[in-house]
Amino acid sequence: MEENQTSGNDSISHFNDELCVNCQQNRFEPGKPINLCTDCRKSLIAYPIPKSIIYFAIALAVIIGVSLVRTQRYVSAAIHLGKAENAIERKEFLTAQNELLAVLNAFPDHMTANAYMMIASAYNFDFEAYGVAYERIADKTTEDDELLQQVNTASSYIAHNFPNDTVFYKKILAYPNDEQKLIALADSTDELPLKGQVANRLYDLKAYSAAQAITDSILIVDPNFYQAISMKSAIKRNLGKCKDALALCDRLLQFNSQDVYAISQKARIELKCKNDKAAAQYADKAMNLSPYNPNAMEAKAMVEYFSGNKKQSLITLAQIKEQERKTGDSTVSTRLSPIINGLEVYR
Amino acid sequence: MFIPGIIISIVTFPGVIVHELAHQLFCRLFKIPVFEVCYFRFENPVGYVLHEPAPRVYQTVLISVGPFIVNSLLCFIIGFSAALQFKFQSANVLDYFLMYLAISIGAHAFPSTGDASTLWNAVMKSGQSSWFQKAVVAPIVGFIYLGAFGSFFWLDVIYGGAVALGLPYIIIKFLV
Repeated sequence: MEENQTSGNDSISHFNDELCVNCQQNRFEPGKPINLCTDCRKSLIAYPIPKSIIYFAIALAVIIGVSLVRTQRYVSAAIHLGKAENAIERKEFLTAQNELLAVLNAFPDHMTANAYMMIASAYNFDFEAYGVAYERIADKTTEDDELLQQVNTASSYIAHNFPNDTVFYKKILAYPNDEQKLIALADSTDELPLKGQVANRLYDLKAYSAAQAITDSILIVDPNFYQAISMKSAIKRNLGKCKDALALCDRLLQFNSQDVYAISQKARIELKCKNDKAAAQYADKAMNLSPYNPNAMEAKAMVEYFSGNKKQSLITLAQIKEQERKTGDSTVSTRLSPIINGLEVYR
Repeated sequence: MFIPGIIISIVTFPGVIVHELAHQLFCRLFKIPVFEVCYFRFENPVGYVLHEPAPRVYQTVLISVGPFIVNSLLCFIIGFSAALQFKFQSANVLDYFLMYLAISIGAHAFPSTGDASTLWNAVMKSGQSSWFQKAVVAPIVGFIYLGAFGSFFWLDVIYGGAVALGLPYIIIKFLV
């Protein structure tokens, strides 16, 4: 409904044709569609823009300026969010979590970013980050059913690690070295995380067949139970069944392709089977993903030790202990220390 | 829902002003004398620019489709930050205003049938235009009429919304 119209000169034929059609005072410039004198042409080319329109344009320019300044912050966050979404699609949950941290630093209460953070941190078993994200959106609603479904799946994935029956869990702790009592305890419960804990104890006792029987019984009920798959992988490794052990790690990596534990485990399996070159590659990959992860550092220390660099492996062990002091969990250094100090034969 | 075009034009008046200003600025750029400019009024057409015919075809084309370039660009720039605010669920009154402004400007990006008519007369009916020029201009005129027809179905407003709200998301997807 807006127009730009060219103006013909038919309607001004009653004017003096020899003079400018606008001012009727000067001779017009020849060779132009409309007979205008030089002065009129100049002034009409610079047809004035009203002050109100100039103010409107200035206001618009200010708005654009403000928009551009504000946009920078949002563009950066939106790119990080987009990268996180892509990483989650590819099951690269470590990358996703790092990208989401950048988004949540700028927008702590963003619903979608927190939901994605719950998903990523669940698959990374980062309980603290999961809890923080959960607290931020616990009372919020969403109409995105697909996202909700993803969050629920991730939440059940991380929940596997929490035994519900704490009294029963204390019973497991009461019999740390009694194989028969531990097996009986495993038989007396249907709770998979508790069975997993029993298998873990049996593994520590080197009762591998009993531990594997329990992990197998867990995997019949839930073929994707993380604890059971990782435990079975460790058992297979210690039994020298490297192909089986590696295949189980690959199953873990199907849940989270950046599972540092699984990648480090592959390094340890390859070392066990004396494939030191492959082990070094897995250790490097784990360290690149998460350089302060004790599992990755353990794989690195073992690769260093078995390549003859004992001094460096001891330095790495010290670094692991330093990391463990922050979390209070010394599992990795406890199992690594005897190996690189020559007290335990690993292979 | 049928809402008369004049009502939409009144509600989205900033876009009309930018549209006419774009015509005028392109005329000034090509040193074409302008005889009258109406930036906005409450009747049909809601705005217009009267100017001398441009001597070259490309100038005629650019004067006619100038608002499409200027309005679309402004719609995108103004809409961008507001669209991202909506994405981050932190939109405030300013963002709603910016989005209104962006969509209003975007909704008037399409050249009018008057613009198409000017273009048609200047190029297709001119004996001086080459076949190539006619081949380029004919589809442009076709699209302008298609846009005018589409405005019955709110195509102009939908276009404004797509540029202000949809394009930023697509660009972010592209940057990721």
